[in-house]
Amino acid sequence: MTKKLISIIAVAALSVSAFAAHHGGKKALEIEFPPPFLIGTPVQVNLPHLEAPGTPRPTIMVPEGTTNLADGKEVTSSDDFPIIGGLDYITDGDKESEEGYFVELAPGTQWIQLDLESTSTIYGVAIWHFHTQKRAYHDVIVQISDDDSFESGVTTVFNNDHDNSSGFGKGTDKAYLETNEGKLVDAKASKGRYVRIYGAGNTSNEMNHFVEVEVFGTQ
Amino acid sequence: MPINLSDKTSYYIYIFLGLLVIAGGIALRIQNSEARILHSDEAVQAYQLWELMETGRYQYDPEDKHGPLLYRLNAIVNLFVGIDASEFNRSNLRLVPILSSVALLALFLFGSRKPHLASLLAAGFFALSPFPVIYGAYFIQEALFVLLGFILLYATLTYWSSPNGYKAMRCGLWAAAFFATKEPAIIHIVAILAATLAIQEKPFDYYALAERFRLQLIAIAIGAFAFGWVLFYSAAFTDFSQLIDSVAAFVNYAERSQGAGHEKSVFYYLSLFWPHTAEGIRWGEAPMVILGLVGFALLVINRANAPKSIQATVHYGAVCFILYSIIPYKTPWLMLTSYASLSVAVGYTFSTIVASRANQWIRYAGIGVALYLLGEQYQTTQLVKRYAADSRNPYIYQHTSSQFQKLVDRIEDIDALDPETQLSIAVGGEDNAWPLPWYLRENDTVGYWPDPAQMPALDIVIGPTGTLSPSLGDTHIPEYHGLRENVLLECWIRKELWDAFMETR
Repeated sequence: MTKKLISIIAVAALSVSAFAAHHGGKKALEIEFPPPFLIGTPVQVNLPHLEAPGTPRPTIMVPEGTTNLADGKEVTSSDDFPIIGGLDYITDGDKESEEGYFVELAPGTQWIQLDLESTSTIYGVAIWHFHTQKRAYHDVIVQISDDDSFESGVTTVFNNDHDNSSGFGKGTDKAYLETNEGKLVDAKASKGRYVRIYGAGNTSNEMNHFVEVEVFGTQ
Repeated sequence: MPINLSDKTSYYIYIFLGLLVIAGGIALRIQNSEARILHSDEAVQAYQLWELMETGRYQYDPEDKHGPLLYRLNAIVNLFVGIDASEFNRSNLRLVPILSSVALLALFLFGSRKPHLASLLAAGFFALSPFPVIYGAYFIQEALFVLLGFILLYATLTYWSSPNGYKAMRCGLWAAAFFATKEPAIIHIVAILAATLAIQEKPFDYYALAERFRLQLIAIAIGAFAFGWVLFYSAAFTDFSQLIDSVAAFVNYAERSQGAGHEKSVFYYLSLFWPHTAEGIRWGEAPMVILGLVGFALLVINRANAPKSIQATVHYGAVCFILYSIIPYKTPWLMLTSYASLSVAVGYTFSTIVASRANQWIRYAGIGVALYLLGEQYQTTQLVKRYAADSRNPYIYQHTSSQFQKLVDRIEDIDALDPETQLSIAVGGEDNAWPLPWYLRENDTVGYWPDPAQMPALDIVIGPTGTLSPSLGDTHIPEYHGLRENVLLECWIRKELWDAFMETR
């Protein structure tokens, strides 16, 4: 492989020289590709206090009387039989990420859906997936609708499926690292009775997890 | 309970069940290997094998790598079965460990002239249990190493029972192969000697020891060992440059045994198998551990009647367990020898119950519990398949996230946009994002920079989160990918490439 690499670098260098002669003496950047080094068994990385390196939470201005409409509300899911935990954990007010506080859904694209029981004006949705490890969840999509099947009147307020792998359109929101602060999504005063949140696994495994979801709004 | 060989029916049933166990063991190991992405250690080993098969050269590194036998043997097997270096996949890459693990099953089942129910049950537990299934399909030295350890143990027992020059030579050659697989063989040699002595009626009888340590026989064993050592480390007497390194490696391994970042408590190995929950998933093999301890106690009590090979097997694993628990450096796969011995001890417990003169209902209950436990072990193996690369799986260690495959697929998709031109890729970080170099081995325009800050902004730039230049944001699109527990990578893809890729979605 080393020989192959050297030959390619040599050919590239010659090509660059020829190219430079035709471009007013300018020289293309020449890159040497260092080979990989063979490592031993990786040691454990402990990150007891995770901090998101990204953007600070958005400041969302809300009217008086705004409350967590999701508190204690019914949750349904594309996975009726979670692998671990129950769907009721998602609106029980507990935000710890340890065992007994999160629900684990099947691999692949899955969703959970909160029924706010009446059409509401929603200002913000806060999501805690899982935060005892440094990980990011894939294809997080938050939608609001009055249609419980989400076939009509759907407002998408967050979508970080940047490669459209979940098939709901390319998202422009950024991926983020999970922390105990959760992710606050600006719902821009959207109206609807149901809130649906999609996911497609995370950077550690194929599973989907939810610790808690809060929906801030007025009814 | 020995199987009556004069009874043809019993003999054929034993053979049939033994073959069934082997078939099950093979199927589960292949299944597990397909479900599990490569660990970085496996990828490093695979890379060395690939280089050996491509160039014919293997460079021994005494700092952190192991002996040449796994790679040499693998290259020969691949040649024999017609696997080319360009055709490696998750399963065929792990062929030699799978064959080694299955060979150990065969050794337990058919290695003795007097088949024993304990051996059949032991093979059953070793074939179906999650831990040996995983490490029987793991492209590291362990499965081959454990097989060679047991072969050496039985060769030592044979020598001990009636020493002669041929048997001494055989021990020397097996020991050389053992060392040429993995340097911690020295720990196992101590355990083999301890186990051999422990099962003797008079372990320190002067005349018995003098007979076994006769200068002439020892000289033959050492000579065979030296011959084997030079044979393996000189690539069949063609390159002697690595012989000194092979000896120097022991100094490095003595230092590494102090921990080297893998220090764990003395109870670490026990905790792997003791019942516990990991983020909602229940794990543990308490019945195996308890019945194994019972089996060990029964063997000590029945030492006059129990087969010597079974006694030695269990003692060997027990001594290894103690030694590895004392040594600060700990990784789960070091328990594979002890787990094989545990399986034999559990098998002996059940065979003692079945052969006992107790009420026949107790004997039936013994068979029932044995079958139930085999079923439980199988169920856990299925659970392990589901969580094959999940950090909650207690049997794996610093394993690559299953989601890492997404990064590999992404690079392949981007590369496929223009098959005529190779992507230029920069990978940064101390660990080179292994196993990524394995997947990119055919690409000549990939570079690896230990310091991510030094990386040029190539088509794709990959490095640990928070270490890459923020200016990449002007020209590239970022993605997050998991490497392993608590280790995330940023993958920045040049915008033009990304846009072209999205056109294909």
